[in-house]
Amino acid sequence: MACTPQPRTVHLIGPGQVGRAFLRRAVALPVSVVAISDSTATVFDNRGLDVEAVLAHKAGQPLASWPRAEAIPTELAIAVVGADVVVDATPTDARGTAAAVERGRAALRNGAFLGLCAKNALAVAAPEWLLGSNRGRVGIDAVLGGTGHKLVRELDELRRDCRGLCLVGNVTTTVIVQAIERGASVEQGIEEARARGLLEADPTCDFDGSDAATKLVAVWGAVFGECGRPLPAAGEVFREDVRRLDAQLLQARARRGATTRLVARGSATGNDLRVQFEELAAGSPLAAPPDRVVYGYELEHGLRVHTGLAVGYERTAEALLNDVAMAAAGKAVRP
Amino acid sequence: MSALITLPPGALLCHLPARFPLARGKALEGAVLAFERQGPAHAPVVVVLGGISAGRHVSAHAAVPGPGWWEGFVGPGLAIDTSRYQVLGFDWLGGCGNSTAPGAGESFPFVATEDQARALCCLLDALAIDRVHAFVGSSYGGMVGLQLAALAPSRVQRLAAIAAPQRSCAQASAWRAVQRGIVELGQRHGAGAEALALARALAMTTYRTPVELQRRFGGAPSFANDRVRFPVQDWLEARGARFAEDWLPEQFLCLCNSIDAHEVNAARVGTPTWLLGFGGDQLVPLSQVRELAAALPQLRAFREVASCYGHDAFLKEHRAVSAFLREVLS
Repeated sequence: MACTPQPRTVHLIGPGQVGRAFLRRAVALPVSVVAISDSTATVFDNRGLDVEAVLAHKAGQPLASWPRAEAIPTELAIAVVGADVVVDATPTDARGTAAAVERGRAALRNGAFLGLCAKNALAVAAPEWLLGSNRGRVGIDAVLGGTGHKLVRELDELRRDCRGLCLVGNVTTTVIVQAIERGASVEQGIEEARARGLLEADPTCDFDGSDAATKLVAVWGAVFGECGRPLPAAGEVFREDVRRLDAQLLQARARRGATTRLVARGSATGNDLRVQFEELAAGSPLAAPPDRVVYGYELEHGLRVHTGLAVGYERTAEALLNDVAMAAAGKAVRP
Repeated sequence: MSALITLPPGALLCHLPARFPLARGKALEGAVLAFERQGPAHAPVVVVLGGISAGRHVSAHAAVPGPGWWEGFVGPGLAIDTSRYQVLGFDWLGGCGNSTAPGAGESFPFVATEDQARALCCLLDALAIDRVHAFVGSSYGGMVGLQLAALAPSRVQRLAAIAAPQRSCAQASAWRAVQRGIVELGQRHGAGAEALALARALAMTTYRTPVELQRRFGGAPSFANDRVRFPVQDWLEARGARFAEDWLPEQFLCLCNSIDAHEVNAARVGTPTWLLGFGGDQLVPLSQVRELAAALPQLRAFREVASCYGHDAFLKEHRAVSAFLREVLS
């Protein structure tokens, strides 16, 4: 295996909540943040940026107004900066998927390690980024709620032996379900999730199952996909909407000691991908509490279980940091 | 990072709190406890836990038909009657089952017997079980039972502790220290699995008695190529190799340390308790069980059984152990 040089410089794309939390933590790593990009511009200094100053500026206005900011396309900025690590912490946005994929490709073309946060790009490019020549160069721990290291580490075995996937990867619906089980209405459950800071400004992706479907396609692509072959479209995955849940049904299940979760499933064929609310018995490995995700891989002799705690932007930032730390130490997870 | 968790059919999973603080510092993050239930769903619950090599699968049942570690004691019509009781077992944290444990080459925080007891409390919470009808623990399982009865006596109606002490005795700790030394030496030299098998072979000699080993393996040695080989060696090597198939050195070290660090304040054990000790047990001598019996505020009975099987008598003495269990559960 070729020896990968130890990364020293980091280019962060997307200084939002996760990006800022990542930058605050990155001071603990032996890396230098040399560039920060938002949707308007890139701020760059190859001697290392004054991150706090840039973030203070960003809190009130776009980076384009920063002195010496370069208002160039982000893919171009990635090439110009040439950082060892590109951390893409932009939030998932279906409309921005193509751009996110191009940013990732630009980073990899440039020889960088790519730390990913958003799932939409992975749901398009998982085989391209996790298999073949890019193996070990893309960190997906944050994308998959803190289970990405395990997936990459076990990818050879899973690609050989896995028969199907079952994922509980959407924490927002778990919080809503648990509120309903305690007697709340669906609307009250949604309000509880909002009060806990779990809802995006536009929470549609959580509500209509798109978030879970996108994660399912991303993982399906890693385990069953092939380079050069398009993945199933997340938008075409059968999905149930949390807003149509029958609260009484969920409460009746809870009285029987069972619970309900939004479970994303699919087999190797790829033509049966679905996201549905399922009844789960007490002790089901999929009955994850609302502070974690569970990614299950069906093997001949049982269910391989990966649990992750990268829920919320602070823990997501920690997962990103772990990816970068491993890359910085020359220990990027490889299958 | 931790060992792979692959749940076979019939195995269940409890997600422990996101951060599970440990008694001797540090914490487990996102840990899970694999468990198994058998018996009627609404029957009184009996928790059954054995030594460090025992796990969640106590005995064969419809959902998991393979043999468990305590066949002959647990099942329909047996001493722990699964037509009357629901039996609950779990895999030890840090051990070779499907609960959170160290993977190969990984460090892992110190897991104390108190931690196993608190993990069980989390499992009971998850299953909405306020109080179990009984806790039956042998060896390490008995240590954990004593901890549970000290930490949360209200959660256990009765405790049966078999071959379990307040703290490990010096001789047992000495033997285990040598076992750990063997494993650590092997790890340093890239032979962790072989060293683990050797350590287990040594451990086997401490589980049994001189009487039993002489009776089974007292035959003449064989000589070949200037080497002498005794009949007992085949048995020791087979048991060691079998153990090393399932266990990682890191997992053995974790639970071996846990046994030796075990200490419970018997005066705080607030649950009616039945004790069973075995004459010939080199790891938990009867004197230690007597000492524990004298210190327990709610001792219901202390039974002594002479056995050539030593510490392993809890696996071998069907009649005596079954009678004891029936007494506890009656």
